[in-house]
Amino acid sequence: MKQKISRPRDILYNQKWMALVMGGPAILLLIVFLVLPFVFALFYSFTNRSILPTQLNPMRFIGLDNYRELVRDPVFYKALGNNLFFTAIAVPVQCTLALFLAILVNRAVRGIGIFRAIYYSPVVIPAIITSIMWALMLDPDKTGMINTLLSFLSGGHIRPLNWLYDQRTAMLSIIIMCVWSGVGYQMIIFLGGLQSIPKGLYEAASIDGANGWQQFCHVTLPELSNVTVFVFLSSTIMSFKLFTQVFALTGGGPRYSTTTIVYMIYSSGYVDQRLGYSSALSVVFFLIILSLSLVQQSATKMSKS
Amino acid sequence: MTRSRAGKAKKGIARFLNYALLVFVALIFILPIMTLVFGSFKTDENQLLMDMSSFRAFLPVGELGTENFSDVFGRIDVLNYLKNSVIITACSAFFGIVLNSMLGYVLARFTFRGRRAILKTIISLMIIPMEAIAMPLLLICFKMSLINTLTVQILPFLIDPFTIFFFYQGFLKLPVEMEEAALIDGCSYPKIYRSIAMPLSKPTVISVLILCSMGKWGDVFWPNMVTRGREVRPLSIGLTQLYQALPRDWGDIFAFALIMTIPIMAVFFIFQKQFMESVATTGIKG
Repeated sequence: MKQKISRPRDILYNQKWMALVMGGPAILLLIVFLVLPFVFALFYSFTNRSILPTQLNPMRFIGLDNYRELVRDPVFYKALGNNLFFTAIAVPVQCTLALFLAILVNRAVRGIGIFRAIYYSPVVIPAIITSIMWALMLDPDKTGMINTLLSFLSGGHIRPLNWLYDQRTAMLSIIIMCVWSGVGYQMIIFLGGLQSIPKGLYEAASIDGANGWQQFCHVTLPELSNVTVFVFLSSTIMSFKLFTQVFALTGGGPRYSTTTIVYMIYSSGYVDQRLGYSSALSVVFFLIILSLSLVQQSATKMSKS
Repeated sequence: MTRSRAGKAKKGIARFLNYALLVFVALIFILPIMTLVFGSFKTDENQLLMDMSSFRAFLPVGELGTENFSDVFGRIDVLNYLKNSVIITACSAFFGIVLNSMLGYVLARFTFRGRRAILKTIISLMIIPMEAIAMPLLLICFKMSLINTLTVQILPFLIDPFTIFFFYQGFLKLPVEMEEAALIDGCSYPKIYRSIAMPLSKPTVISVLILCSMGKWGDVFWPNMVTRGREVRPLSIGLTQLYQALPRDWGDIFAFALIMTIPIMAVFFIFQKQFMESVATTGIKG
């Protein structure tokens, strides 16, 4: 359908022109602030570029040197290990708790909306605030509520831990605060999944004599498999982006025990001003997220068919 | 008779246990927040810290007052941080919604060459994490002399491939007949977008509004790198600095944190019903 433009007003009725006018600004910004930096990251990863090149240290191509340095960098392996440790603990724990919470709030009783909102509310509080709150609760001194609680519950058997100040427990501390603050998000998605399960399936199961646990295993879990795959993988992707808690509380320490890949991107690029090395890290980080996303896509497709 | 009464009693007990469990779990989420709320009104610093080791932390006990607030207002320019955060968050949400939804609308409704290619590109751009492009982006913003402005905290992240796609999907679900009828009645495309498509996309708009606000309000990563002076810094950076400055004054930190929590909580509770439904059905933000 070809339209003639004889008056300026006619542009408002022309799809091609309006596509340009309405979609153009977004495309332009997308190119400048997303595509371009992405291309730059690839490009700079093969150079020794610093954020502000000086006369003494001009930018030049160094081939794969950044990547060679990366595979020899013990901090990189430490960071990768920390990310994997965080993911391996936080994601299963968070998803299991989230499913439990979702089942808990998936009933039509009075005031259930308030409970849902309360369980979700830590997600709304900025990570910087939950970090600081938890830092105080995990305080190793007499003021630490968690130490007091553990000691009380164990009848004094659990000695006060140093939490954020001990390289063995620092990452665990961050995991605890992240699970507490993030579990509401997965809960809501599981809740959506639970509510889309046809009620007839449960009725049929209970007629067949299935008890609550059997219904859960043979109706709820299989019906939720799509949602579970989604929640698991999207939580994994999110967990790889861990930064704020580390930045605010530990600065990657003690002894790199909480350094993550994103924190390394930040510290090498911004603190050390080594844009080239930071870009190489960024590329590796992107490849990790990319492969996780591809797994997610194929898993979603598989569970759908 | 007795059986039905026993059944009733059993039901009553089950309901009670049910609520007891709900309340118990709710406490796990609420109590740490309560330490923040009550702690900010505890004027005696030592008492505040002592309370943190017992359940007194969850109660408004001891000397209470607003000294922490007046203290923190006197020490740092809280209102300026607050103003910056509000400007950054409001502009990001507003312009983000307008620009992303317009592109989403264009892709959902118009036919033009390259439409499919653009759509596919946007879907693949969703994978790029912001953290992976932050350093070159910093350089670009530096070259554009945007460093240390409010603009640099708004403009680079206005457009989000995920949000575009989210709007695109939302528009596809709307019935096209109404828009066609409006076109026949002489409505222009921008008018149809504004008066028909957008009002019908209210749930999408609310979800984007909340997610965008939450992300912007608490962001530390980007503002920390692109701002120097306190004139343009948001609350999140103000709080980080207050926390990292030694010796710590916990009363002040709590008061500042509470000031930062209230606005975003208010936005959430105003829209929470629609928002929760929307998250539950779409599983947004991956």
